[in-house]
Amino acid sequence: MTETALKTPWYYILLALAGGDRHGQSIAREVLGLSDGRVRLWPATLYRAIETLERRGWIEELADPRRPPDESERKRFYRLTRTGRAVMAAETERLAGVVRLARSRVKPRTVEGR
Amino acid sequence: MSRLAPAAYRALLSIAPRRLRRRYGPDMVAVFADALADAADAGARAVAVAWLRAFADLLSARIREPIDRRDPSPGPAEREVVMLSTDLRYTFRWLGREKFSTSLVVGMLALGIAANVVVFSLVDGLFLRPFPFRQPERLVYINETAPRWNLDVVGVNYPDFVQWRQHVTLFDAIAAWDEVSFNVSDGNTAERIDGATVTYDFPIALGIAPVRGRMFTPEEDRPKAPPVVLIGQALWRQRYSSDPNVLGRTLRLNGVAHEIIGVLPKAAEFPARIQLWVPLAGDPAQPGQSYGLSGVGRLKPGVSAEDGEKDLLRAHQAIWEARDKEKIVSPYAHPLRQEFARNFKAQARALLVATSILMIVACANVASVMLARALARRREIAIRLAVGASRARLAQQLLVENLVLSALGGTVGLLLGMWALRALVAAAGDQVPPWATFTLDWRIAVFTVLLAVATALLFGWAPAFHAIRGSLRGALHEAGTGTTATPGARRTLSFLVGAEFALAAILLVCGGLLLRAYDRVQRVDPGFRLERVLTFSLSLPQATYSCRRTTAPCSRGPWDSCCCSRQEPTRCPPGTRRGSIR
Repeated sequence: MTETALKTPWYYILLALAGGDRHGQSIAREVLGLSDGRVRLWPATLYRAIETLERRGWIEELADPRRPPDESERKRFYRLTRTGRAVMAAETERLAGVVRLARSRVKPRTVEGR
Repeated sequence: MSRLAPAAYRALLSIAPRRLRRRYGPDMVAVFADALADAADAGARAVAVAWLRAFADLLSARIREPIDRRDPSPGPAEREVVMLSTDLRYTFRWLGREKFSTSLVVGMLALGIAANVVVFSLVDGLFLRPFPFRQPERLVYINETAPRWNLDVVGVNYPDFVQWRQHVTLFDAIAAWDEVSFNVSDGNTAERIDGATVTYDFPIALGIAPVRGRMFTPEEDRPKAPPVVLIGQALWRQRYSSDPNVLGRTLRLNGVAHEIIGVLPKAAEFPARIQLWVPLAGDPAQPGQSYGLSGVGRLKPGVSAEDGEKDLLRAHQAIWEARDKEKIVSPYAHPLRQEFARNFKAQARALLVATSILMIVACANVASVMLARALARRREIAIRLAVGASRARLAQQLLVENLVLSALGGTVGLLLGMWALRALVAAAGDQVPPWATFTLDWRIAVFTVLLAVATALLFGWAPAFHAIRGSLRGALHEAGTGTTATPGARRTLSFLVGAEFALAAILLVCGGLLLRAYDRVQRVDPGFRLERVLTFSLSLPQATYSCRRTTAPCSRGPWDSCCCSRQEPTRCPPGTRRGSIR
């Protein structure tokens, strides 16, 4: 497991796959939607990340028969593995911890304060 | 998205590491197509940015490839960042050291790119970009010609126009207009504003809709109809501060109160800076009407301009039979752009050729400087190889250097181009037709920058590549003995220099001739003294000056056949000695 932050694209890809199996293009769209258009995964970034995540065993490519039936095109589909899910959970915990810490140090600006 | 974009991106993919390209190539194209489609919705600038981002994305994949391939244990890939920043730091240090040749390369690239981008944007705005109307390819310009009288253009006759309008079958709409200017007053101020009298189908033919209010009705386009006027968006802003309640107000045009019924968008300012539109209100029954209108027609989908012209001729047949038995005047139609852009064709073509030569010269210049630089570095490369640097590492370093250099040139060139285009359009003022918009064209920007990058890469990398691959001993020896280049390199250099001189000479001669011609034109003797002569024109509104047309032209020429009842002497403005009125 990682102690340092996951790269942003990695985290978002894991998040996108947490909702279901997807192919690359659909991951990119989902990430764009999840981040309100702030994170666009450009092709090389996306597939380098997918490659790395696959090699680390965090995601896996689906074999042909297990693909969603309506997708006739020859696209590679990916699924989040158990390890991937654990990594994502750990990263989410870490981020939550950071946010908690930040919240305790920085007083959120109240409405009257403005 | 056009079919060109995926192909272009596929070509760009050659930057990406081969492994990535092989495995994910088509998928990457699909992902990029998504991004490009989103960018296309946001405008041309977003599209250009998308291409640059995609380029940077592929490039960074390429640069990080060695780390990717090794992909060590899981963990933050800090090392790749270190490697890249080492390369970049080294590059900037090297660029700083070689200030002269760096600024030479960057400057030459920038000038070539700027000139090319500006001229292409002008050509694009005038010839390639569609008019700001809906489906502009269906629009034709209509006029009449009298070849037997040696008149190319005689103008459209209103009764002819009405005849066509009733009988053409291949047009969705045809309209006629005439440019006039009006004395506009409302209370204290009066000004002269260019306008047009148009038939009610003018906006239908052009496919424009008012931003406020409504268009003319056919009833308003008849003689003695209540006077109404449409105003342009600019006038609306200047005179009424974009007041939404402008509709229904009155505007005095040539002394007659007109009701404002609508505001037209900027695209309607066609063909020149027109701000007021009033109905033509012609009467086809009135005999002996002059020629002088212009026409525009919207063809039905899929109909060519030639077929449209045949349709017009067919509709005109009845007129030949009735009152023009000798077939003196006949209508014609041709594509709108042909009519309005032809004035600029020669200049634009000359400019395009000149800047293309300039770009070639710039590329040749860059090539020779890069060649010289690379030759000078053979020794350094040989030494680095000797102390154990890997060839791949060196090649990557050189790639980063050349890319940084051409990126610098490209950025400066694009900025310069943007600035120059703005300055040029601002300086041209009235000569720029308002329907043309000039923006930096991202296609040519990408093309020129890629060209520059390719030049820098090819000529910067090739000699260095030789050094890397060649025998170490030879390179060290050669480099050690002096700076003389090998015969091969010398030949390339002298060829480049020769070609450059030839091209520069052509440019110089052409430029000189152009200046000389301009000088000549300036000195043409018009036959009278131009100094201290002012011209002005004054038109007296018929409503207040009640002009009486005399049937017989008076002795002072046809211009005096309109005599005015208010006999006010025209006083000379202060500082003028003598004036005369035609």
